[in-house]
Amino acid sequence: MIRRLLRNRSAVVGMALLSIPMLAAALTPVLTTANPYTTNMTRQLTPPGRQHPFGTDQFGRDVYSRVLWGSRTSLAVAAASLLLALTSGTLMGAAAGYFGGMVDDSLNRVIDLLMAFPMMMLAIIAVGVLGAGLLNVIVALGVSMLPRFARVVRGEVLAIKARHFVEAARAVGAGEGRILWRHILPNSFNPLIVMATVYMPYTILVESSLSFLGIGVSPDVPTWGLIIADGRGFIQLAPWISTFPGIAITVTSMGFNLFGDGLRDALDPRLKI
Amino acid sequence: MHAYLARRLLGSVVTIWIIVSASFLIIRLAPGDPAQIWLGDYATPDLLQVTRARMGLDRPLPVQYLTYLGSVMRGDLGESLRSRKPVAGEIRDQLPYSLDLMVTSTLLSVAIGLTAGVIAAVKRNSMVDVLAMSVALFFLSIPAFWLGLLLFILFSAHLEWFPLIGAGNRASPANLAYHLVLPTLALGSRIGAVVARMTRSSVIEALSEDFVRPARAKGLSEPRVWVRHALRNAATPILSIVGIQVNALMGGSAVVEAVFSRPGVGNLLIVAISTRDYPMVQGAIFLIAVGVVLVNLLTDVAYGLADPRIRYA
Repeated sequence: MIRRLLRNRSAVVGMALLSIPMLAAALTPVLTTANPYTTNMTRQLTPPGRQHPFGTDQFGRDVYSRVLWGSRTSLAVAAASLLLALTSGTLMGAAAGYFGGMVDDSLNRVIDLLMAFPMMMLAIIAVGVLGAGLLNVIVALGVSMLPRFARVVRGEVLAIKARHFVEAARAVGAGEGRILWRHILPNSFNPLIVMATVYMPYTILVESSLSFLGIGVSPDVPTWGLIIADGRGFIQLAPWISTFPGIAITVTSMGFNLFGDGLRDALDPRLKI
Repeated sequence: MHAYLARRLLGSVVTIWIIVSASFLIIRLAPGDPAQIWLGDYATPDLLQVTRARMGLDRPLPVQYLTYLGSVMRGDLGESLRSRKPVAGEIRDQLPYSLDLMVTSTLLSVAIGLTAGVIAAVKRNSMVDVLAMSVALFFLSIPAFWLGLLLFILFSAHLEWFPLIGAGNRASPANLAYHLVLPTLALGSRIGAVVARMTRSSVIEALSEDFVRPARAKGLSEPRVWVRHALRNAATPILSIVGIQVNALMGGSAVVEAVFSRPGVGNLLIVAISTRDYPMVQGAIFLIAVGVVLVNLLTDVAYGLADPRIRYA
């Protein structure tokens, strides 16, 4: 599988692009010298130069270190909300697909209802109800993706449930929980991995949009969307403030899109998402 | 077909009812007292009491719910806590601006996405294909608000070709269109990219099917084969992705309206969320629910028109 992935051009280019934000996030404390929160009123809106590679913002804060620290928040929020959607969606979809009947009917109704809403809108509405903040944004993003994961898992479980090895496991006396956990779920793993990768860029886009709109993680913690929003008022005077986080978002989501395309071709060519 | 439509319409009403009820319940259970928000931080307990009674907040939850449901059905969405004007009126004033933007973005992106997708599919693996798909990937990855800002710096601030803010004068279509150009590009680019990618893969699949050879054999010109046979057969997945994307526009338009300081429902919702103006949030959610349900219904009906094999049993 890994060999197939390495032969896939878009997967390789995607991985190369992704290595930039990943390394930047992992090595942030090493790569940055300036404190992303330290204001310096004598160095407001300094253009990019030796001391500040990405310039400074209206409070004299170093944009370079803000973008790097922002990569940690943005990537972590995206990953956490995907994990939330993955686990809760798997539970929901597996329960619906495996038990069928009433459970399936009622869960399916909920999935359909949530699916009707576009993800971005669902996330905005969820933040509208819950309020902004780190945890609420993660929950909102997770909820907006949950029905999509649940639907795919349900379909997979339905298909796998009918296969012979499940019958064999039941014949040797395996319990319901064991069958679901040991036999069915591991076999529905591939489409989930592909889905998580495919949704990753969208999660990053939605998170940064929420931050940009001022209903995101927090007005104090730097995220890419927030830095762009900060720079918006100085877009003519100091375009660098919004430019660098914008490039960061675009490169990261392009990397995930390419990698996701490659992963889908390598793992699960049938899947169209 | 009629029975199917009737059933779908009934289902749509139920969906809207569930969404209205859920938004009522969640917002009522959320922390924060609407009367307190209405009066501000310096309200006296007496005044709070009177206001709560006037807003009906002192009555039992089921009564409040039925009252709310009744007024929604009469088209009364309550009063905004911020502007103190009727929510329905404010939404009605803002809606045309959002609709303009969504219609132009959809039309432009579907036209460009379909053309680019078909060309990329028939010239598969050529330079044109690689170029078109790279451009699509770029627009798929760039956040709409940042693209909007870039367009704004270049065309509004530097070149001064387009206006800086606002949506123009509703009396003059030319003026409206002039204000729509950049927001349309910012909002439509992503759907255009998605449509192009989906069109390409669906048309490639359709071109490999059996009916393409006889179509060529009977002497149809190549463009005719592409459009009449391949694209027509690829219509269902393309339509479904367009339906999904038109719905997604509702979220995207909130962002683009913010970037270009345009009036619109998205802007209304964002301001309502950040000021905890719950009646307005509820009103916007209601409108979005209606919009989403309508788009989904139209998409399903369009399937049948595009593909006669689909029967509404």
